[in-house]
Amino acid sequence: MNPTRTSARGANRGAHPRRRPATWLCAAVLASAGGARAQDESDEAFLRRTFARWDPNGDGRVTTEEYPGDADRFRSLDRDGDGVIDFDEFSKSGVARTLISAKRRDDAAPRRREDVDQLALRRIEAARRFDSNRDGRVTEREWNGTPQAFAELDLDRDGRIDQRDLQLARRRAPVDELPRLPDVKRRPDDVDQLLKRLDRNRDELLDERELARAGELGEGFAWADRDGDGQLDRDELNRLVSAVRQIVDARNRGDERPTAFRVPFSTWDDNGDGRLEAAEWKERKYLFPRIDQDRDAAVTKEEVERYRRAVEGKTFFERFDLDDDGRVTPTEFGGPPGAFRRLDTNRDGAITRGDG
Amino acid sequence: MVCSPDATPRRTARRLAAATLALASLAVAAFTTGMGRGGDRPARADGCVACHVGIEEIHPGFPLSCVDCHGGDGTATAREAAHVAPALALPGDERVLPQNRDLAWQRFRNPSNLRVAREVCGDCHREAVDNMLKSLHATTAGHLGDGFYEHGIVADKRPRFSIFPVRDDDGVVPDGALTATTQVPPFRRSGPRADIATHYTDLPRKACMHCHLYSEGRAVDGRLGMDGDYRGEGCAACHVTYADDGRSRSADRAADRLEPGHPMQHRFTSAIPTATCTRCHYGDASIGLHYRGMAQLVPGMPAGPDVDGTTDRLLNGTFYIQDRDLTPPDVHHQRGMHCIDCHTLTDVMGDGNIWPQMDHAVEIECTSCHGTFDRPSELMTSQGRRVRNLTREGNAFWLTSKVTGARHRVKQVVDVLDPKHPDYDARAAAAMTGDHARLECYTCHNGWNVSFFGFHFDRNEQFTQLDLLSGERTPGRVTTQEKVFATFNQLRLGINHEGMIAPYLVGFSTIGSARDADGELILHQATPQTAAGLSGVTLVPHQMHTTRPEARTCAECHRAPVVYGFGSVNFRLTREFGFAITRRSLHAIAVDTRTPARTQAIASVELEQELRALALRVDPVLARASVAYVADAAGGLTVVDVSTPSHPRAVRRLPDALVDPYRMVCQGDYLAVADGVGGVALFDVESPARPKPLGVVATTDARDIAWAWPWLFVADGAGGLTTIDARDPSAPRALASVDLNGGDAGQNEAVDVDLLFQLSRTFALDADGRRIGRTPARHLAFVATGLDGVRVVDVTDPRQPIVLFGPTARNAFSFERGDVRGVAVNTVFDLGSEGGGIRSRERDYLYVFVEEGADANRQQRVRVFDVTDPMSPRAVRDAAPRVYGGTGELLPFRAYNEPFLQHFVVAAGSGGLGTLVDVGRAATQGAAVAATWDDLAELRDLEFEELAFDRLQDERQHPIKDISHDGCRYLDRDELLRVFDAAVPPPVRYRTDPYGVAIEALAPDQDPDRRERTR
Repeated sequence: MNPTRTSARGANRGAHPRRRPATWLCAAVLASAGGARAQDESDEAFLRRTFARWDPNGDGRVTTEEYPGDADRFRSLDRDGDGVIDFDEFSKSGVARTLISAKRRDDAAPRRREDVDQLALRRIEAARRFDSNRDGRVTEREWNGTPQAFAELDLDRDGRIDQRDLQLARRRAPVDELPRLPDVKRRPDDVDQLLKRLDRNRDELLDERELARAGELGEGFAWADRDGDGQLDRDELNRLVSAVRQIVDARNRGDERPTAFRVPFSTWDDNGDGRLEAAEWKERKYLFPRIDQDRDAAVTKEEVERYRRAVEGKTFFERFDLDDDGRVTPTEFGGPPGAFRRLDTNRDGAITRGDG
Repeated sequence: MVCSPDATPRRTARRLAAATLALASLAVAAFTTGMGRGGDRPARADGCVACHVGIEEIHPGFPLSCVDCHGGDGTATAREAAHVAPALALPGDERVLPQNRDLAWQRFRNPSNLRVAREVCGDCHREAVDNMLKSLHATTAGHLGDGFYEHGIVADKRPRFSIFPVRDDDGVVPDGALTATTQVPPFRRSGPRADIATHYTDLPRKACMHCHLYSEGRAVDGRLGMDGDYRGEGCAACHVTYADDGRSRSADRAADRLEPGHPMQHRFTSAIPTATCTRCHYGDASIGLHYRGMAQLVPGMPAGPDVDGTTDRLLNGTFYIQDRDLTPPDVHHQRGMHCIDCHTLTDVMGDGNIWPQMDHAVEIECTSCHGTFDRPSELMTSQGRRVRNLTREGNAFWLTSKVTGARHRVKQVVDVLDPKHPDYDARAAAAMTGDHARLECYTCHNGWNVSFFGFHFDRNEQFTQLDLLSGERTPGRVTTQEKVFATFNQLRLGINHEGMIAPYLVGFSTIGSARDADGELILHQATPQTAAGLSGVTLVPHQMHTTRPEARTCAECHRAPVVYGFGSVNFRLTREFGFAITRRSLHAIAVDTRTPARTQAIASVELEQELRALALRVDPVLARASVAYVADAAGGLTVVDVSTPSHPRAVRRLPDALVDPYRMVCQGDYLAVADGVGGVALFDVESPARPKPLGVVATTDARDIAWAWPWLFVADGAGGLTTIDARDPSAPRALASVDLNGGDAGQNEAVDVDLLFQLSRTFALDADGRRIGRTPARHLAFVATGLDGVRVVDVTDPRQPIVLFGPTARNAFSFERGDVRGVAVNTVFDLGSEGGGIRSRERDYLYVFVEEGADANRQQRVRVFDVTDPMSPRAVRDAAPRVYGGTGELLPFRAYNEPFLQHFVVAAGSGGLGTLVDVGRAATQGAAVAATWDDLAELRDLEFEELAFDRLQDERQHPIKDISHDGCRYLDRDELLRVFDAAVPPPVRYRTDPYGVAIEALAPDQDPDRRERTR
């Protein structure tokens, strides 16, 4: 598509004349390593892996055809002007310094970004969606995304996204999965308790064998070992515990709807006033404010029954038709009046199966 | 002398000379014997002036006997004998008396009363009076009729309702005019109680009967505290001047100078000042206020003598906004012109036809005085009548004020476009080309604009109120609330009845609530529907009367879908239901906008797959969800019937419709899916239960979409922000992708996006406010970028998005190990401080969902930023409430609880279903949690029904909001695409870094193009 050209005055003359570098740099970043493997790499290994992205034939020389950016930037990297960029030229460039800086920033981040090679593999696998003539490859003509997005997937630079690119992508992004957080059922202990229980050699670190004794939590060792040294220090343990707790806490707020609960009312009602105050409540704490509909800091039998119906009932009438007469009155509904009016389509003051 | 509108200047001069001579010799005799009207033998009035010593001559130049006009006995020397006594008791309130009620007394009290004007004034001014009786000032037809159309009570856009019936029997009824009107009908008692239209019928006769010529309005004789409202009725409404305080300053010794409700002097005038017009023209569309640089207060806004930016004294019972930055006056008012200096006699008094609306009744145009692109003024109105106070002297045009006599030079458009002329303006010349000949001048030159989105009326049968026409007190007290969504700089455009592109304004189109005699709510913010089946919350073309020489910028028309009615993030009211998906179920949520804590899940339906995203198809007229679309992790798309929220029902599932869905948006008949590595997928949902795949656009990793037809804006994961041309949803194509990290080289993580078109705002440049400028208008995308924080992108030109990330933004959007998952944007009118130290202002806010903090103590917060100047975002202090367990998604939530509009934002998933954060007073009070909805767990997505007041048409250009004026329409598809595809200069230029990231906006004098255009 040719964008509508404005007049010479219309072009953004405030921009730096070499505006394209932003595009190129993006390509460089996307071609760089990100995510898990970057963390256990030296800077040189990281740069070599990045360089390899531009060098599909692996001859250590990146030609103008292989290079993803524009001619200006190629020339600025090809310092000796021999028509190819070698690793030495690349590693000493400002671009390399910028990439290293970004890598270090990511290493210190609270979580990993998605690995760019994994992303590229997923994208190439999905690209068949754009193969409109079903010939097994996506050409530039079939591609309706940006040229840059196309170039990111055309790994062999042959002007098509096809099986060969898929193979290249698979080689770069092995099938083995990224370390993941474990699916833990119980809320883990805090770090001090874990160390006390598991740190046999008292070195304030947990190796994989030590953590394995924590059960399911041990499955998170790879995820937590950010520096890849085979040991989890306090910071790494904190991250693991904190992340897992968030998942468990979210799950423990209940299933999609809370499960059934028991409230032996008279047994719990110590002061016999017919209401359960917070101190008398012995079920899950988070249920108390949910059940206390009138917000008077006490729960009555009626409120318990209403809530039981609301959570255990499968249909609207099971939840709200408390007297099972086939009519839900505003009192039974207990919800917003505006919603009640909407549901009471025949305006008879009750929601029945005939409404709607 | 007869002041006939048809008299030529020379004839008038001769007559004036003769009359003056006659006056000198007959002055005394005239007072005692009267000159008589129409050649009759003059009636004696020596008894009148025996008491009314010093009274002014009512009709200078042609003295009249008191009795000739007022009746009574001019020879009597006792008051009771001289005066005409009322035959009936006086009601003492503001009801409109019947046409035939005690006419002798009506005449005595005010001979120009329209009930008797034909016999009195009409004796000489027959044509003028006849025209007046059929004019809009007498009938109020448009004002009364629009609402009936909007509520579907009548199907005709030219309703025939007036104060009193009137007929046009002269045999000449042009196209569009009426032959007769009937009196506005009373409350429709037999109407369905659950229909808002029924309750609407009580409104006109109770709340809209003040501003016409058959009554004096609210300020009846003797009523105190009605400063600004005191006026006469009939011809005297305009031709007799009243002081603001309604007190007489007459030399008449018998005049009561204490009681308000009397004219200043016993004298007619044709030099009618603006203040007289604004005795009525201050309500509703508020032309009279706007012209003078004033506006109605926003509820709760501090005002008064100690508050800068507001008036110092009460007028019409209230203070007003008068803020040179917010509400600068019309340039014509600034120059000292009055309403009638533009508006002709025909405009005001009618042309003898019964026009149903103002559109046809006003003949004066800007071009009448200023000429067109091609020709100077021809001194004529649009109806071919001479503009009598406009003259041409050589190549100069002069307008002489009918009120002050001052002469004003009238710039001609042709001179402004002529490089050789001293009035030449290069910027104007660049804009005012033939392509713009279809624009009303005030389309670009309107300075600011209130638009009463959300206009609400309330009817309560626990109370009674006076029906001003019948004089009976009937059940149902009606009140209106105009300022729901307070805004001062909106712009909406459409085509007016002349085929010109003109600004549109919310007219008298309301949502309404009603309570029965027991106080039970029958209707809550119900929406009207016209007979055409469209929404009755209409906008109509309007001249704002805020004309400024500083025109709006090109981008406000050419790059602003919101201006043509495709809707925005603002002006949306949350309705009764929301819907949410958890891991495997869809849930209906009953929303309580009055007591948010009572919001609860009420019903659910279990689906087969693990769910990912949800979009609602909402009926745009009634704002009710009919269908929910649910995307699952297996790539399926399920259609769920939610038309009965208590019984949601899965209808059908399309397997393999998607690849990797993250978020979905349903707009009009289209469903757009941010389908991860699958790109952006579009579906036709014109048949809601049968989505039809249309097109797919290849992107990097589409995580979220925002739609502003014809463009889509995609938070594209590692691809940054991607813009898409979706004018043809079956063949969408990517326009551009922008790296949001520029030189920082970090991999992009764009996960959420929200849009806001910032229309330009006025601001004063110097202490006197004489030079008014405008802030830039631009289209902004706010992007949540995960570990990189927040990015603001200028997407005014979607083909060249520019990241705005200067030093201030870097500083503002830095979080401690932050992970920004969601953004939402909202415009709020911030109320100022009581003492006036902090001005009330309209501001744009960005809400950010961020997870931040040290690893051992990660916290989720909703942070608030003022992004009114997007180059300098500013964190709002004390506005970072903590939430727990949120998904990252933020949704605006707005509730109107009279008289305030409450602004919230919902952190979806936090606490279970969501956490409601009050952000309505963020500027002064920070933000705080208002409610936590802990129903449900593992929330995946959430959406509320919303009434979008500013969605006028959908993406197929089908109208949603009706237009209650005949011959008006929205721009069609071809017109819109022509507008959007036109090449225009950017509204603002930036200084960028080597990676194209804008680090500073250039001031106009730094902008080389602007310097060239304004040399």
